[in-house]
Amino acid sequence: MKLKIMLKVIVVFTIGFLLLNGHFLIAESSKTTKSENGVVQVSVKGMVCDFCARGLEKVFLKKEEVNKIDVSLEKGLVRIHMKPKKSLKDKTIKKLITDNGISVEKIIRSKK
Amino acid sequence: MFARPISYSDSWTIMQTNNWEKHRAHLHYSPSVKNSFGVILEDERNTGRNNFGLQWNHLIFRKNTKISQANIYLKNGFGITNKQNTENPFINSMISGDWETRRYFLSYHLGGRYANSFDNRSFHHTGRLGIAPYIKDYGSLHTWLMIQVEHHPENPFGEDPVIATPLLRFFKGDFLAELGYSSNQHFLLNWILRF
Repeated sequence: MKLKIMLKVIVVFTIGFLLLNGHFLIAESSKTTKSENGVVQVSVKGMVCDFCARGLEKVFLKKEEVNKIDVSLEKGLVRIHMKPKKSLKDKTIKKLITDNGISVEKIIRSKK
Repeated sequence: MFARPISYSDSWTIMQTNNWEKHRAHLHYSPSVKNSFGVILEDERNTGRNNFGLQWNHLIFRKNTKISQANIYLKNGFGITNKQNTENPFINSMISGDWETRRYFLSYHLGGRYANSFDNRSFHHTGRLGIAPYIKDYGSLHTWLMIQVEHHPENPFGEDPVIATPLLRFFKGDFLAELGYSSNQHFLLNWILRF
């Protein structure tokens, strides 16, 4: 009896949450992947959850060259926005990412 | 909670587990994604034991693909276990593996402990299967529907050695929480905070 009540509570809670969240079985809409000036795009492998992405965000934001980063779990893409006249070498970017347990597939830089 | 024993480099993690078997708190520091070192406090509900220990978690294998990540971890610890004001040393060793995409989750955990004198050995293994009913990007609230099945072949309390727990996992940024209810009629509440 107690188990049935608990299961009902869990089911109701889940349905309510999904309805409120409003996106059942819908992935987030796609965003542009074109490279911009001062932005380095890195295609990565193994970035499947927020913990992975959070680690990358924290490590890049510690670098003085970096203004902000955007992470797309959907595309497996990390976009690193550099501060004006600042940059990071590919080797450094690769090390920061692989040290966080994520594999680098490709680094795309904007054409000057 | 078995599948995330190491955080990103240079970070701390607090993990708290409450289930039919025990209340458990684990604080650890990850100098890299390969290792974490931490302390554990446990209050075992059925045995009346309290444990204090140190634990080392090590990533021995990781396979990344564009849509998935697979890991195998080795976890070893030692400490002092207390029961009825008698203390004894213990050692434990566990191996766990997980595979996940943004939609599916699968994990397996095998663990054993040896404590000198009372209740001197324990062994269990646990599997988990999960599915995310919707998928959102980084920073959103993620939800998982999971089923956990444990097998405790030496269950000394005359209960069913197989325990199933359906649970919900909520995950956002640095915080993860799980809520469930087991087949032996106990709540499960786990959470992880990383900083």
